[in-house]
Formats: sequence, structure tokens, C-alpha cells
Amino acid sequence: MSSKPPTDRESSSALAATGASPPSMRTVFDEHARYVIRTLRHLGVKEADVEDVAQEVFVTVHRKLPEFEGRSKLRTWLYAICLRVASDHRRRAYVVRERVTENPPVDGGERTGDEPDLSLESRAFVQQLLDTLDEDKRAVLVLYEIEGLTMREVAEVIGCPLQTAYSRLHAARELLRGAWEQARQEDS
Amino acid sequence: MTDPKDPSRLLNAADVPEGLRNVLRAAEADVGSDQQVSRLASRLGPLLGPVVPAATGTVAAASASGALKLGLAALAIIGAGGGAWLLSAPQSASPPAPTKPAVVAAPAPAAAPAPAVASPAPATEAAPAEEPASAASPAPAAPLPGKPAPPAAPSEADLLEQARSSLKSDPARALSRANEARKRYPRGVLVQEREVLAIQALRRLGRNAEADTRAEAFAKAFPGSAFQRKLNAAP
Repeated sequence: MSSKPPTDRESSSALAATGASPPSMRTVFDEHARYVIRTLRHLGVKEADVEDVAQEVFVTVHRKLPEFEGRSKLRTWLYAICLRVASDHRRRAYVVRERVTENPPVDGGERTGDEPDLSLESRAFVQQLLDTLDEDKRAVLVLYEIEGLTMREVAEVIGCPLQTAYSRLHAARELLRGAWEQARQEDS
Repeated sequence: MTDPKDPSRLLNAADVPEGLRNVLRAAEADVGSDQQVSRLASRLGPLLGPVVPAATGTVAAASASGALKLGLAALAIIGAGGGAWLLSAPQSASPPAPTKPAVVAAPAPAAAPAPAVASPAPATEAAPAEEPASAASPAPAAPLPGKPAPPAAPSEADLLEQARSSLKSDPARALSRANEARKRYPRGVLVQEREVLAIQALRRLGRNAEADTRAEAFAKAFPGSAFQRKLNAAP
């Protein structure tokens, strides 16, 4: 299984600017669901919540799909929805945690045993590193380095000027390297 | 997908420590599992529409299985031209199977504050004020092995499918089903779809004043909704 979602050229859901109908909900789901889950994880949605938030993403997709006119690529459109839903979720989750939880959950403790063959340590470590970034830098880094978007697409998804996206990527990389070096030293 | 103006990705950059590149490789490999995708497909149920026969791989197979069990595979959820999913399905669609996992519409716990849709219905149809969809409803636990499953209450999706399928032939029943969904699932994930159905049913019943009031409440609660065009159209 490829770890890259289909590009719009590869995807049967490619619209281009041909006046074609939007892709079916089923097609969007089948082609992108597992990548939506990955993106949400890396945007900071906890494993225990990731299916709920992915559900919210696809309910939003369902509502908006008839309006999708292909002016942007389907992938970038989906990522923009993921970004907004994940951001809303984090704010809600923060409020709820602050209000009702004195003992925050331990990262990775919600593992259900049926995730991909990825060690708990690996996933927790990825999250630990990404957690050192603020929301804006994290989004740029995830979309460019993990999801493989071009920087122009990243800027489009984020809704910021291209130069701003470059600046955020540069800063995010520096922070990521620093966090990785620190973790390595603490581990040795 | 590359742009020659973009910097090299860390995964491919020679000056990036191998350990850090391994972290990024692990992140890239951490896609949703088949089980997660399958559960998600079951939750979304009829929203996903018919299974695409040409879909390949385990994801399609896994996600298809939930919808097939529902007996709703014939539903065309997304109608051409603006969110008409509830009207676009063939009238001969199979009724929901009784063993359907009622997952899509589990009532959500209190989530973010959201605008309430005022209830324009008469007292007999009164329902608690509601909030737009919060999809944070965890799936109910599966029954324990060896124990018969208790009779499941109709899910939100079931009720709305019943409303949709009777909208033309029996709008009174369609309204009743939509209002039942409002009572049972005031914070369900299909609040917008439910309101659209209810408004259309009211119009078909000639209860235009009620339909208009409810449509106004909908427009306030969900500004910019993709269903707005549907509501503005003739019933």
C-alpha cells in the first residue's frame, strides 16, 4: 500500500476544469479515508478521537461536495477541511480537558491494537516532535514533509501567501531538528 | 507531485540525520488501518452512497461491507446539483436492515456551542432546541459475543432514509420521521439533512408558513450551507 494519497491526476475523482460532475462521496472516501486519518493524527488529534474527527471531516465533505467545482484540487480541498476540523476539535478538546480532566491522558495509551504496524514508540515520538510546533508551523510541515503537497498547494490550503508558507516551513524545520537532537541526547 | 522551486523534502535531503528521516518515514507510513477505515465507513453508512464496483484494495472492500449490510447500497446519496442527496435516491431503495449498526447518529455529548435552530413546528411537533452536527459521537459498543443484541432503536440515518423514501408519496410520514429524528438525535450528525427533509415535507403538505419559518431558522443556524440552494428551490 502506498503511503501517498492519489494525486488528482491519478485519482478517478480528478475533476480538472472540464465541467465534470463532482466525484461521488464513495469515491472520495475510498481513495482518501486512510490519508485523512493520517493527516488528522499529525495535526494533533489524539488517537482516541481520530475516528470521531474523521467522521466529522467526511460529514463536512458530504455537505460541501456538491459545491465543489474543481477550482482547487480535490486533495487540497480535503486537506483544508481536515485542517479546519482538526483546529476546531483541538480547541474543543482543550476546553473540555481544562474543565473536567485533572489527569491528562497519556499519549499513545488509547492504542486499540489494530493500527498499522507502527510501534507505539514511533507514533508517540512523531507526535512528541510535532507537538513542539505551534499550529501554523505544524500544518505547513505536515502538509509538505509528510503529505507531499507542493508549497504552492500548502499555501492554498493554509490560506496564506506563498512566502509566509516558506517562512513557516523554514522555522518548523529548525524547531523539528532541534527537538529531535534534544530527544536524541536525552535518550543517550 | 513536485515543484522545482520547492526545497528538497527532509526525507530526501542528504544533510538530514538518518534518525530524523526515519521519524518522517514512520509518520508517512502511519495511515489509517483497514479496521479504522471500515469502522468509519460503518459510521458514515448511507452518506457514502453506493459502493464503487471498480474500487480496488482492502480499503474499498472493508468500507463497502458496512454499507452493504445496511441494504442501502442502492442509495445515491449525492444528487447532481446542490446537495440533493435525499431526493436523488431511487424510490425503490431497499429498506434498512434491522441489524444495521446504528452508528452514524449516536447523540453526541455536549460539544462546542452552536447556534440553535428554532423550532417552528406546532406544539405536537415540538422538540428540544438543537445544535448543528457534532460528529464526536462514539460508536456504541458491540453486543457481547453469545448474547442476543437488544432491539436497536432506529438510527438517525434510518429515520432520515425513511423520511426521504416517503417524501413524495407520503409527506406526512416524511415529516413525522424527520421530527422523530429531531427528538431522538437533537445533536446528530445529519441535522442539516433532517431539516431540509422536514422543510420539504411541510411544503408538500401545503404548510408553507411553517416551512418558511423553519427555513429561516435553518438559514440562521447554517449560513452558507450547501443545502440552501435546495431549500430555495421548489419542493
